[in-house]
Amino acid sequence: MCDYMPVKVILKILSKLPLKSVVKCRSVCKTWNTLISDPSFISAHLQASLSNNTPFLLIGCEKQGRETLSLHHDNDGFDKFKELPFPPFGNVGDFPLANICEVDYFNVGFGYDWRTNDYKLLILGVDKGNSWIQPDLFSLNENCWKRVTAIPPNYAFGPQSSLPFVSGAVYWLGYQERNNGVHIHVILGFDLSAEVFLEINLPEDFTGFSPLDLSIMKYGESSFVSVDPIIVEFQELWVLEKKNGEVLLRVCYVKMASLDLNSQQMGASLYLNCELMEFHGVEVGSCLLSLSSYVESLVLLDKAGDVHNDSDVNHPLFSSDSDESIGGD
Amino acid sequence: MASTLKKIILKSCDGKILEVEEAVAVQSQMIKNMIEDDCANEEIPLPDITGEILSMIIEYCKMHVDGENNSNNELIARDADFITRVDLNTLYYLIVAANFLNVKSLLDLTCQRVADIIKGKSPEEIRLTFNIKNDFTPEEEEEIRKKNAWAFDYKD
Repeated sequence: MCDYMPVKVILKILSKLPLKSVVKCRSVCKTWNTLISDPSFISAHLQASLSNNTPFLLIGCEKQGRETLSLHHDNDGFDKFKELPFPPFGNVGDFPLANICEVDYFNVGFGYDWRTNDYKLLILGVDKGNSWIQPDLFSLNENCWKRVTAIPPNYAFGPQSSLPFVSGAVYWLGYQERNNGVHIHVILGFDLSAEVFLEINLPEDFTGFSPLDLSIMKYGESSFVSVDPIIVEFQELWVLEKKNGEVLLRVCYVKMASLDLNSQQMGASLYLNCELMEFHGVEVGSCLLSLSSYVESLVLLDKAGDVHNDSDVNHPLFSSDSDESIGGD
Repeated sequence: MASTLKKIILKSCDGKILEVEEAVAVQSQMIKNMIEDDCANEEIPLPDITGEILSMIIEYCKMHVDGENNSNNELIARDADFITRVDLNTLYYLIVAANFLNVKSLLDLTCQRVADIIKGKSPEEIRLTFNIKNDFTPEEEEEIRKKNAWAFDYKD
């Protein structure tokens, strides 16, 4: 029957399917394969999943010494949806990086540039002398690495498991150590469209904490800095917001706190009250490692053209011309 | 108050004539545009829609107009009841007609129904269900399956 179905209608049907069914549908017939591989369909599918589904929370935690990822519904009960395999999807192959030999550790940021409809990967490396290695940026559209030309801000940063991506930029925490050993903290960011660094001052309340006490996470359309509750008795949350193009840091004390890590019990519990002032808990194992919102989306890994030939090892990000999708956020 | 009782006359491809209240007819964006352009004073011929399908669409639109004051959940339940009574063949003609007449909520409902039928089916089952011809060569199909193997790997 689909032979006579208008293309517009087929697209509408396909955009209502969950991601895995969409990928299976690629092998139904050539027309469907072509429709699904089109970047405009991929955007439409993402928009449909963003607007139709209740959002998910992706919670990473440690259970019996193993890192696990689970998806929870972002509702009052935080019902567990499913456990994700780790890594979430498929094979992602090799990851060529030329200038990483002198690196002590590096952080990876990944995000989407709406202006050019492109996915970008940012590598922030620090050498053994604790100074920045000029960051590299990978563009999926151009299918190559390039050196970031903007000058990195003069702050050190520690290793971070994932950099939250919020309204076009990835964020991480930076610090300066004064002579008296006191740490001054800032939020550093990198705008993936403009390819410039961002710097957001943190209130003085943060001064003096060790960099290990602070963490930055994403929740919904904002990211926040949380103070490790094991050390501090009060829970507070600093919500990063973008208003009229300006990035603001809104202080949310307990009154509006969305996150409360209760470490009193054996095994940390995670509570999110979201303005309800009612606590709902979910057991997350012995140690909470990360928390972020989650949406599945298709990414075409071969749209940059012919990468069938792997001889040019500096270029392909992934090992083959595979154009599987990757999940997560 | 004559205008509120205005009837729109629709003619199906098999010659069936249906008189529809304007409030019901304007659920179709296409007919709404025709009324606004003052082109709906005579009967509107619908060359690709049979009387049976047209009656179903009018039933659906009427249900939505009458149910305007009902709760959202009630409408969802009625939609579900409407769509589960429809067999696959009828569903196809409903989609084509809803698309032509531009009845957005019905198009959403019918497309969602097809998506629900596709969900969880293998490519072979999808082809069989919707009578789609496999135009891949065995090699091409093998290649594309290999690339997307993870989607076939485990169940969710």
